[in-house]
Amino acid sequence: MKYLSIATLLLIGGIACAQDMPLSEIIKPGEGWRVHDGEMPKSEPGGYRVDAKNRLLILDRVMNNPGEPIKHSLAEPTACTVALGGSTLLIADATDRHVWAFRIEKDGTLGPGDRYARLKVLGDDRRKKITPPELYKADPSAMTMDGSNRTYVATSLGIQSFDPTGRLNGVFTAPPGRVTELAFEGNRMYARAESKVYVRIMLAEGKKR
Amino acid sequence: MRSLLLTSIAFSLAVSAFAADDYKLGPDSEKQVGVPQGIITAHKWSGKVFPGTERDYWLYVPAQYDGKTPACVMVFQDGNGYQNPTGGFRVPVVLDNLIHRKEVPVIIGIFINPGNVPAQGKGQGRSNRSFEYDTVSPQYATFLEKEILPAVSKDYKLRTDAAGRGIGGISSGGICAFVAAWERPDLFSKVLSHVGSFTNIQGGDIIPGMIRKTERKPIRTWLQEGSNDLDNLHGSWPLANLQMAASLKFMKYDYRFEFGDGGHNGKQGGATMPEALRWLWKDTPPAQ
Repeated sequence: MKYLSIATLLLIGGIACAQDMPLSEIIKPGEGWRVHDGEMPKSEPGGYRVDAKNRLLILDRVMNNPGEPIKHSLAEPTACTVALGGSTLLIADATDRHVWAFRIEKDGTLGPGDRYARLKVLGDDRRKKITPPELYKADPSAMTMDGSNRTYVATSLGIQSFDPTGRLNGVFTAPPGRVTELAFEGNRMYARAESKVYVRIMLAEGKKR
Repeated sequence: MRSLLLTSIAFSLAVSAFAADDYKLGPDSEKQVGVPQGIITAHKWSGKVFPGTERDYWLYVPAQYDGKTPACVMVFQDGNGYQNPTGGFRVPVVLDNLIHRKEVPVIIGIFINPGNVPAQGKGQGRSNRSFEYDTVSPQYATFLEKEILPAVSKDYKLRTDAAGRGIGGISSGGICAFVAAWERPDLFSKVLSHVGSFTNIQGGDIIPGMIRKTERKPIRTWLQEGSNDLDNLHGSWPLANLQMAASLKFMKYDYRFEFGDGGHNGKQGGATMPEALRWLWKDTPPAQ
């Protein structure tokens, strides 16, 4: 019976532990966004960007080869971030409402990719006929990671947080305006929106630099 | 009336607080003298349906498999836990006993772990489990149809009709099993779900509603759930499984709902494995 219990724990342990990353562990009660007088923290290393045409990924640091097409035909890539300690590049695709994950190969190119996290939108598929089309757009516009490998994506619905396996933890308020940059520094999350920089104190903490 | 309600709530809380969850494996989960044992082999797979993923899987081939008659197939998600002959489920041992007594047909077991995308340079690999298991789509069924089943069929004759195929799993592996059969009832007709995650991890909470508004499909389902299962940001597992059972009942599905007092574990599922397999595979018609 002792071994049965141990075997059961071994099987279920990983499954059950990964279930729970609620917003209550991420955002601090009573805190909100306020205007920050300084600049955004420096971008985290990685060197991957989506260009202004939202079509090409510029591998500016590693490949020195701007204009490398994104593999797997993303229709409208809008934001990206390096995840899981540098092994994975996450790219948000506005068209299919997913964040995609691509393995970063040893030479910095991108390996196989697949959908990773499903972005929430306001529109309800059951009421498509009477819902304005724009409510089905997540409009992912900026992305960052925290020190626990959670992903944060700024969308039209707010900032969506996902656990390391791509499951939605929850959505919290974004600062006013369209967010074009997100970053963590310590226990502060920074966001650039409409030429202003905002800051919010979090329970989650950024990656140690 | 109010005091009755309060008494009921207090009683429910008391039952929850002192849940036994003391399910034990029976003799059908133990090796029996005189029962021939099947063979378990370990394999690895990296395919294209889930790009970049690598995974382990195990095959159980019963001693009664003769190489001529196509065998029935049962696929398990999180396969390592189910194939372990000394673990909590011991499916190979259970099948040895049940096949020997002809209580189930000759079944080849395919026990598949979820995919992992290994890191190539620095950093950590990426687990693909939630995407593969929790997503309500036909992609996992396609993975089985296009990759795993053909690979196993190279060495073993397998039934190709849904009546000769089942699929099962625990937690996210449970909803994965149901969705695979739901999306592809031409591939699978029997579903075994242990503490299935019919919650909003990746939108799976819509399934009970879908069942109620979709023409009944030829799927037989064994649902096991515990009243002390998870209640977290994704939803309440007991309530979700109650919804599943109610929807299956409403649409007159062939189903069994085993609602115990356990938590998010495989204790009750392991203890009831022999009965679940007997029930799922009863009256299985011969291969077409």
